Amino acid sequence: MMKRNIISLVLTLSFFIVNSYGQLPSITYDSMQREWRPYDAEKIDEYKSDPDFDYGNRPVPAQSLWDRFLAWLNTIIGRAIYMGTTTPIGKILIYVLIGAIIIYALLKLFKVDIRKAFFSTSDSGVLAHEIHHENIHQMDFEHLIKEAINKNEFKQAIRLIYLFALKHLADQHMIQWQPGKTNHDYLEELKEEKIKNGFSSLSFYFEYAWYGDFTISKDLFSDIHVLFESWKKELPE
Amino acid sequence: MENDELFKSRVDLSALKQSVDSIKQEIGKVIVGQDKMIDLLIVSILADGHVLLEGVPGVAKTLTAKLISKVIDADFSRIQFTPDLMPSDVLGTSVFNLKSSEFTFKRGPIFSNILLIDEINRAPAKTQSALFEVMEERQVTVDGKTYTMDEPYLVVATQNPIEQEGTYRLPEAQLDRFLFKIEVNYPNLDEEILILKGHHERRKKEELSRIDIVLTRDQIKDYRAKVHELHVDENLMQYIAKIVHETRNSPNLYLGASPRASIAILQSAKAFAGVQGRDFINPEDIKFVAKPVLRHRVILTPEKEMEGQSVDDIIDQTIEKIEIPR
Repeated sequence: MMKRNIISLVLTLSFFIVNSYGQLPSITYDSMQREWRPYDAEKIDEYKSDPDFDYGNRPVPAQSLWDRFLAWLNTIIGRAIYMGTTTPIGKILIYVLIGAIIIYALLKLFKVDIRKAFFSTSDSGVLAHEIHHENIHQMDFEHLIKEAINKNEFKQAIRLIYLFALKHLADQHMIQWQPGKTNHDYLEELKEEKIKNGFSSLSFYFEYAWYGDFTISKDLFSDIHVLFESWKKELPE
Repeated sequence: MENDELFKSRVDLSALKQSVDSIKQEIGKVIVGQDKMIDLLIVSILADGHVLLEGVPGVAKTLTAKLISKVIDADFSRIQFTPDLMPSDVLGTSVFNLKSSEFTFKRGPIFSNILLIDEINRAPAKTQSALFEVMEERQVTVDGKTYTMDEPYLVVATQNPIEQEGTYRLPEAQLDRFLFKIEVNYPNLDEEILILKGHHERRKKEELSRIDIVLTRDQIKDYRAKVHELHVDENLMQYIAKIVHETRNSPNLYLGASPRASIAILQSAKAFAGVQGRDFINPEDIKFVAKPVLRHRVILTPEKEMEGQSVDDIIDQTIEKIEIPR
């Protein structure tokens, strides 16, 4: 049944196709007059001689010095990589180079000065600002104390007496003079009882006069001056 | 002639000196040695500053903090910092009151005169930051309302430098709010023997209960006002400024100290002078307080850390470079 239906459909379609060919329109031809234009030989020769239309291979210019250097470098690196990947010595060298780069990067990252690891550097560097105003070893104390007494500047005179006492102790190597040491530090360095007691009293008067800003009378200053002179006599010659 | 007659004190510090001696006597009933720590704790009370006690376990950090609270007639509370502690556990929280149908603020343990924070580095930064306002401004702002703390207000915190697991480094902003970081070290041999004797005779428990109150709130206010009046020579102010300034220029320090550190040195040097009954400060006072004031405020450079140098070494070197004004 199915087969019969397909055959009848094919026959019907064939009939319509054959019938439609019979109804095609007739072909018409163009009847216009045509003008034939000849080529301009001169123009063609002109184009041929124009270098803009020359698509042939041009000669390559000679390499510059820089290009040759780059090419040489390229060859060297190429050979090194080739050696590094093929020979045992080359491999070792490559690892050493990578290790050195990593160590250098770490040192830079942590700001480590490698020289300090091998050579000791004294860290008693100079401060950013000037701190030393006076040098007790260059001061003329006798003269300065007299001057302060004459001007009735007893606080200043006590200060000078105290600095003079420090100079004596430093000269006798009884203390290690250092700008950052306190009066108590110097006191601790003294061994001899008499000198220690006298210096302790001088420190006391100096601190109350200088840091405590207490008024120093002429009489009190005279007592302190006498104390200093007698203390000085206790020092070894 | 007696020295006291020669230079009569311009500020009456006799009562202060007496109170300090009494505090030392009371604490000495329980604590053996640790004189420097006790001196610095007393100075911090007078200088109105908070204290961070750092030491290995078993060196009486917490006990000392408890004793300080016992000798002062003031409110005391304690918080054990843990990793799961929330800011509201410290500050307090608003609770809905069913009767009045409104929220009422329930105050946290931070509302006290003396606050002991045990193992402060065990709480995370979120909880640490809850302390910023109260430590600096002595006030707490919760739900838009500001609560002012009663005077005196002192935070005594402890931390262990060795155990790192489960701990958090304190934020710089918080560290700067502590007046001192006091390092509590092991006792020496003689002190250790005395501790053993005390323990053997079971004196510790009895004496802890017999600690007397020797300082009232009003006395603290009065002493603080007196300390404030002490004379400071201008050269010594320059000396303090130079020390702090030098920490900022030191090639060994990654972070220098802040101006708050300068003020802290000045204030605590005055308190230390007052404790000794002297009405002016000297370089000795400054050097005594400089290290506990600076050690938690500066940070070493990585290279100095790798060299094994400590912050204390670098601070010592920095201070020693600066000339004592004479």
